[in-house]
Amino acid sequence: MMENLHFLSALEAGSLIKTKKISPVEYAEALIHRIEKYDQSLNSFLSFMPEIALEDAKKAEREIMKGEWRGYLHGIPYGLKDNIDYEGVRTSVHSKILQDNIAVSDAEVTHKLRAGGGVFMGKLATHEFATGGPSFDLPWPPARNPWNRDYFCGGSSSGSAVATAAGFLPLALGTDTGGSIRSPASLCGVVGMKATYDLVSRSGVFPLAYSLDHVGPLTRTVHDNAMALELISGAADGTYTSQLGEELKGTRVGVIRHFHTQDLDCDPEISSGIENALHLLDSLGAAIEDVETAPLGEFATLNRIILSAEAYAIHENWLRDRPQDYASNTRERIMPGAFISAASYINSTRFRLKMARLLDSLFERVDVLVTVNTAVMAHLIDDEEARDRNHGQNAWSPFNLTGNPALSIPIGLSKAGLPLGMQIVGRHHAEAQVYKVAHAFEQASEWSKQHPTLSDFVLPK
Amino acid sequence: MEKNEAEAIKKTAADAGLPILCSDYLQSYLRAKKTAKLRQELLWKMGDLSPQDQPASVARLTESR
Repeated sequence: MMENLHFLSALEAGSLIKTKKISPVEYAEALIHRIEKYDQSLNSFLSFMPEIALEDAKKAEREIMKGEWRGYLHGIPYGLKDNIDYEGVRTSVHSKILQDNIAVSDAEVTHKLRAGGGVFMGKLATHEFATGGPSFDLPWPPARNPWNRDYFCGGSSSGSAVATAAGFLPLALGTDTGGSIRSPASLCGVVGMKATYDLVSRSGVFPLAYSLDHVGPLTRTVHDNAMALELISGAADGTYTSQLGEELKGTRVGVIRHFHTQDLDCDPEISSGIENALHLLDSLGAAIEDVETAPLGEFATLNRIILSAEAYAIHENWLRDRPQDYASNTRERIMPGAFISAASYINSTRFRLKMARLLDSLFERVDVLVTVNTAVMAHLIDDEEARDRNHGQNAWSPFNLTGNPALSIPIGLSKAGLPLGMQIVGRHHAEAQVYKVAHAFEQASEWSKQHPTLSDFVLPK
Repeated sequence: MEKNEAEAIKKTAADAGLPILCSDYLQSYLRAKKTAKLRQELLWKMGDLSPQDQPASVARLTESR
């Protein structure tokens, strides 16, 4: 049996499976063993399903032995954020309210992963209803940062990022309404993509805010992420992977520097990390220039009005009938929607289109944009004051509002040993360009080869 | 909590049709109303829209390039 399978990328594992150097069963067993050993201290899984994983792995093995190989994700384990349906398995959205909710059919993205021969490992922790968090007044504890379990791991796709970073899975799906893929990707040191709005189906995914929700992949490498997006969006092979490895010479990179120098109170280590990353992109041949857009606060205001109004529309009856079953933090995030006027909601959607066009105008000058991701370091997971203070200290919401693809990529570690991330943004439907830039950076920086050491903090039995 | 404040919160909750189960909820409702008010004030500060400015739709968003 090969050792250390857990930090193989999906592409590496898929290649070994294709050439029959490892079996999908051997690979799944290795990851199951690792999850059983370490997840008791990280809480990334809400529903761990090793029986289904082994069944899927055996099926994949039989098919591949018969020459019926379906692609590089055939035989590859994956997890789903617990707001994405898998037939016959609970979708709780990490809430007491849905703790007995068994999905009656697969979400469209689940169907695509199953059709691609993926190995389902289970459902992953989120913040309740994909908002608020981390909360300790729910039926399950919050996921913890694998780089240091005392720290917040980001969210709301918290389990998806933790499981990927910890070497439990090479691929997990998350959702992103105001940064919920990019936040945990950044704080856990993995790659997270929120693609163009509507590129990935939301069918069978419990909504937070209909017009802002996106489904997307979290992986340890850019190539894996692009491969996963091809599968879950139904794009042809090569749509997002064929440009990987191309030179950056001539690629125009616009930096929205005022997001972190003026609009946010950015941690100096993060600012410095972004500057270093820009130097690296420059050395790779990219043409870097500063660009300006509307203040971040304007994007955030529109995002929050639309998000809270749409979320309240979904939760209105439950908030009236059983408010005690929500975490207090979730209630406080959703309830402002009760007090938003219809005129404010509609005017926010009118401003929204103007902002999307404003952002689009930047792409007449540049091919991709680079911005800060989160402007603050991960806080201690039980520090509620820091949680509330840090809420909003990021540059995620503009791209939920405008629907542009936005990817979080690791750019290093802080002095405290916690991951730092940066955001790369593209034109609508230009995910291939975003991946190309991210891949070139990743290959030159090699941050994706750094992994947390879990053995230091295994809980005593 | 002062009586006037408690009454104001109860009215806030009642206007929104939200139940009052304990004092924590009363505070939550008030904070939620203040948050909503603040967000709407920030929206108003963003300036005037032309009557021709249409709401965003999915198609308009992703075709805006």
